Amino acid sequence: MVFGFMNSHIPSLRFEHFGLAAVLVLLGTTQAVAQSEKAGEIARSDHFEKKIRPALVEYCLDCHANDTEANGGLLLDSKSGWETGGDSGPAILPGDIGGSRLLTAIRYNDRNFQMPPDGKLPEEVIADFETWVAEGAFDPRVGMEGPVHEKSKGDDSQSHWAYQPIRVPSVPIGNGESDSVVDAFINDRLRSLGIAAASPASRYDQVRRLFFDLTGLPPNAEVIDEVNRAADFDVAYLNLVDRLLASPYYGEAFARRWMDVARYAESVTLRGLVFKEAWRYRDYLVAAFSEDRPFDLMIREQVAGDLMQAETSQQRWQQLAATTFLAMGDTNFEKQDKQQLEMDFIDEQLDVLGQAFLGQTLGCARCHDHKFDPIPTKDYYALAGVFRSAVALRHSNVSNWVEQPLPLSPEEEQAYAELESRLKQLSSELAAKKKVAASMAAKRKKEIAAGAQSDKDSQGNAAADDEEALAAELKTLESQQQTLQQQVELRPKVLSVSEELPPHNVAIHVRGDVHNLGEVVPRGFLTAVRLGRSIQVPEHASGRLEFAAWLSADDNPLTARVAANRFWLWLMGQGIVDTPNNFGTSGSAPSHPELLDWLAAELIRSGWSSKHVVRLIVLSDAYRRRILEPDEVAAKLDPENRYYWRGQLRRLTAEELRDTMLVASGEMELAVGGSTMKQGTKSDFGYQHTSQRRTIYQPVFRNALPDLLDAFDFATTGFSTGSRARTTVATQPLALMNNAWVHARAAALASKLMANGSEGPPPAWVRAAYQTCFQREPTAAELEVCLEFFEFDQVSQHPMHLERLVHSLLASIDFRYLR
Amino acid sequence: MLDRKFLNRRQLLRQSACGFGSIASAALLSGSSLAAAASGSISVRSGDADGMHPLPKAKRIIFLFMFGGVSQVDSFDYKPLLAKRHGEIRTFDDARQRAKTGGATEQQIMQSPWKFKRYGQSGRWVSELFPGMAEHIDDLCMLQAMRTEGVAHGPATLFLHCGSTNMVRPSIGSWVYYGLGNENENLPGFVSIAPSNIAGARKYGAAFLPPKFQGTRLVSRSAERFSIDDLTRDDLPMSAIERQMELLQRLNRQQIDQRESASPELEAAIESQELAWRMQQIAPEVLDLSSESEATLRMYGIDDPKTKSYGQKCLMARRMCEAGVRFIEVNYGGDEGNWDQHSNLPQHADHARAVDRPIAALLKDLKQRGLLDDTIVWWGGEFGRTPYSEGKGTGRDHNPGGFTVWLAGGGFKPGFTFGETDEFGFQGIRNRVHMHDLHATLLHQLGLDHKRLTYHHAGRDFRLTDVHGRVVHEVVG
Repeated sequence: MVFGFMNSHIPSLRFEHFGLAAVLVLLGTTQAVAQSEKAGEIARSDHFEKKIRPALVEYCLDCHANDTEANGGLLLDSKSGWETGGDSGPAILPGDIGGSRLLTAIRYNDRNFQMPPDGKLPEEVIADFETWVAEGAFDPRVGMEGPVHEKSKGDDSQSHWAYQPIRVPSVPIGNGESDSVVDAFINDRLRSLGIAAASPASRYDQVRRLFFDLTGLPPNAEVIDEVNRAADFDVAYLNLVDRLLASPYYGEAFARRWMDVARYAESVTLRGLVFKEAWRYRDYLVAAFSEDRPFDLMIREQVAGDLMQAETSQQRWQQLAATTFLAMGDTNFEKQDKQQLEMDFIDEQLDVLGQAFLGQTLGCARCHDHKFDPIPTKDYYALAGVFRSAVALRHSNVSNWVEQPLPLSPEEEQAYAELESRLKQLSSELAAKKKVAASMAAKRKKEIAAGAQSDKDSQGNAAADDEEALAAELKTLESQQQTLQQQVELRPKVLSVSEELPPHNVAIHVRGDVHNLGEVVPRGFLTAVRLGRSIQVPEHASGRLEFAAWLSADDNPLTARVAANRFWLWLMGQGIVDTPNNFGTSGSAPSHPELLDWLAAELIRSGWSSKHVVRLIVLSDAYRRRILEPDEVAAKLDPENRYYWRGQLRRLTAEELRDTMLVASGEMELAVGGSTMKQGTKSDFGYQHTSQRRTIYQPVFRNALPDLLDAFDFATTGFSTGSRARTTVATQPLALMNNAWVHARAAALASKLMANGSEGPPPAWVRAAYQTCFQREPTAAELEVCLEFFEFDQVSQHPMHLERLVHSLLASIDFRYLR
Repeated sequence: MLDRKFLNRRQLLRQSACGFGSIASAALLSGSSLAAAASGSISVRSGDADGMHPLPKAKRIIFLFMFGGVSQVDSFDYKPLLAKRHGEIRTFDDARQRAKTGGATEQQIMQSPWKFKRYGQSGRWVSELFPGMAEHIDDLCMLQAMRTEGVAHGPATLFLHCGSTNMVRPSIGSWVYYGLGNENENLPGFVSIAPSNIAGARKYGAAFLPPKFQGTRLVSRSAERFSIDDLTRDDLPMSAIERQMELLQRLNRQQIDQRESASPELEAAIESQELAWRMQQIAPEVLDLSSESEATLRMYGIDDPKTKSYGQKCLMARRMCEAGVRFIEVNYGGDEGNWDQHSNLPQHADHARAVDRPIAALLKDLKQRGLLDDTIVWWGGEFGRTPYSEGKGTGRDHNPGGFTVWLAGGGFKPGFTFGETDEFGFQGIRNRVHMHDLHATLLHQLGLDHKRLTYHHAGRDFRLTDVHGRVVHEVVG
């Protein structure tokens, strides 16, 4: 009504001076006004229906409608939608062209606030919107608003169990069957449910389980033999646990598990660009788990190692290598909107570290307050501000990642400094000479063009000679430059970030959009997690170092629980919290909350010793049970074995399967650490993995994984993996039967057996093959089936049959599934 | 055993109009009773008043991916004004420049070197680049104001496949396979024929969906044979392979009998071995083109070195389609070069030559076999090209703001044109269709509501169209 009056005669700008009351008074004073109002309303309605409504449908409502997830909280599908506005306030102030944010956005005047995001509207459409707003923004769409959007559940979820302090629970009193505290909790639960626990698995099964769990490798036949002969198996088992905890392969097994969580990879999918230095992070993890470095320290080093103090250069190397954690995302370095790319990079970092250390899905809060957990968007951008200073990209068409030089001895530093200055000098000399060459060529071209008919005189010939000499010189210099470049590149570097100050606070990105900025948020951490002592972000530093301290604080209720749950999951096959990367309200509830808190408290009490927690678990009866058929009670109350009344069927991971084949064939090279990417690898496409070292040392290439990894549920390298998928599909047996790499292992194993003196009649071969693959004798029935396989053919064919027999053993159930 | 399973699958598929949940879980479980134990879980939003997915109009998709970016103004989007104003300098809001600098730039208008003619009942314009496709113009539903995200190949190719320029998300083929399961247990549900390296394995990756929904790469092993990695072994006679298989089965049985507990997972492992064995016999037949007639090979251009490669891929797509594969991507733009003519637009003719006859043959073949009714053929690239020359040279740069995609079969309106670009063929001005919208519409035709086809991962429900997408009802019958 009001706008009609505006539209008819009075210039829109005067609206502000009149004020609403004045307009209302004027309305209806005379018939003439009423009539022109009527005419005006028709015109306004016409303009809205012909120009504005179609434009809104075409350009805006895909995102700004009630049935989409309104971007920026702004709805444009009703009048009240734009009146209320979104995260940045009312979108339109009728009559006020300058003050209507919608117009600012569609005019593209503000680099950080442009709508629609995929291209500016045609000029005539923008003009239509301006007219519409100037004339009072007539909008008949009243009373058709949809349901109000659900707000964040933040406040209710504050009471969620995972945000409560870790309490050391009282240990249930057992009935003396086990002195393990783990068992006290587990058995207490079983007793209350009335489920009978299974007895321990056979010695053979326990030893195999322990070997794979603690080292990722099979035991050899002698160990099994030794344990079988031990008078007191419990003592032998205990000794074996300590021996394996001290084994160099322990670190490899646990590093590989953490690498899933850290989305470890040595290339990115786009263009297959390779991270030549990522291996240092893998080696850091192997060493750290092997030496039982405190897990809280490992957290700090991975998040802020570059900002920590170091006493030795070796320590400095490790601190820097740990920060590769921040830089291994599957980034699209080619993205042209570099501002958005930088935010995407930070988003990926927050996503991974939120899940890895806190079990929190922070990514949800990039665009709106977390729907389930007490993580407001503000917290997300407070953290983004912390990571803003950790520069990880150097922009060009395809941006570069950051490699930091590792500290060297003064002599080495000196040598590299000299090489670099020589390279610099040579490069500028080369550039200058190239310029001369170019101008000489241009001059001659011009001369030829100008006076081609004038005969070549001696001067011309001399010029040509000069050019030739210069060309030769350039060639020499270029090759020198290349050599120098190669030498400079040998300098040890690490994939990392570069802390660049002063720090910046980051504005809320409305709906995650870098071109739509809201309120600036001071740097900080998660407000829902409260520590005993407050840790503040300093004014003149990014706060990353403080964030690392906050993250790994003993009284951070999430971190130790999340870590303890991972160790449990890695050994028991399922987590106490079955969603290891999500301890929020949308994750699973813990099956044994007191046990989880007790393990977390033990982790802290032991100085964050992961080996301590691992030892507690593998020494429990719960870990050592046999895998039985459920009795009636168990079948009814706990068919899934959530309460650990029996052992868990464990299958080898892709890496273990590969490694075990290499061990069986006798080809395994058990060296620890080092760069393993082939020299000169520029991209990962079609990379041939030919090394026979453990799988953890094969480059993890996002476009070219080693054989068998894809088929056997290797971790997805695109994001943090808390527990791998566990599929049983036809591509697995196809790989086992037909993959050339597997054939080669079978061939090697067969020749090993023949060379090892187990020649002669097939029965000896079969026995040796079973010992090698399973560390046991074949049963009589198995022996019979195997011997039958040789029967049809002549003796000359036996070696060939042996190869197929061992191939079948490598592909069989017992090779992949422990008992 | 095979028949019984197949029947069950058919029965399940018939229910696809009644609700999606059962189908998605079935897809998860097929071949594995334990796949559902994967880290994520199926989530179908309930609580909507109808609780229904749309009725399916199509069962599968063949996507003819024209990597590099076909120029719309040189193919299907005829703009006579370009010839009139050829060579003129004018300001354009170039997408690449805008991403870098935020502003518009001066560009030189460039006419098309190819002539245009009207074709078919619908009388639509097609350039002389595509005489074969032009013959089928009345079967095509043309989207002429497509727009997408990403100005460079990598991001735009990822967006085209996964609906995101940067974040790791499942490919549309994986979503379709996850949503509908496979029609044929002996073949993978999502096949990418000869994918190039561009955007890497992510363009046919399952991301956080269970790994079984990952696209299977089909590679050309010899002139007439395509292969799936590890499908067969060639170094042994069939009789020997059979004998070894028998041995393995007996050994496995003995090993399982020695255990104290029967495990569904071990039974599933045995079953997967049997399935692998059947696949090994059946799939190579599907992959073998040698049973096709001379006439068919000729129709697809397999007799001509210039069209042979893409002809084989298109013929393979028809065979896969007949065999019940859900999503078949037929890649153009690997070793043979691609449509990315920054400096030498006339090279478009070589690429047109390589794909035109095979695609025309595929359309004809599908139609005569009655397959076009329930198969969607989707033709297009990751973006279009600019109507002005790049750097005032002789090629065209990338253009995500206005380009052409066509669809045939599967309930898309034949002989229909939707959307319009400006007078230069640069930006869409009417009835624009965003890539998210196209994804939503493709899923809709398969009976999947893009807002309900979700997967719970990292704390929230993900979907192909993120929080976007509109089903373009105007283009479906």
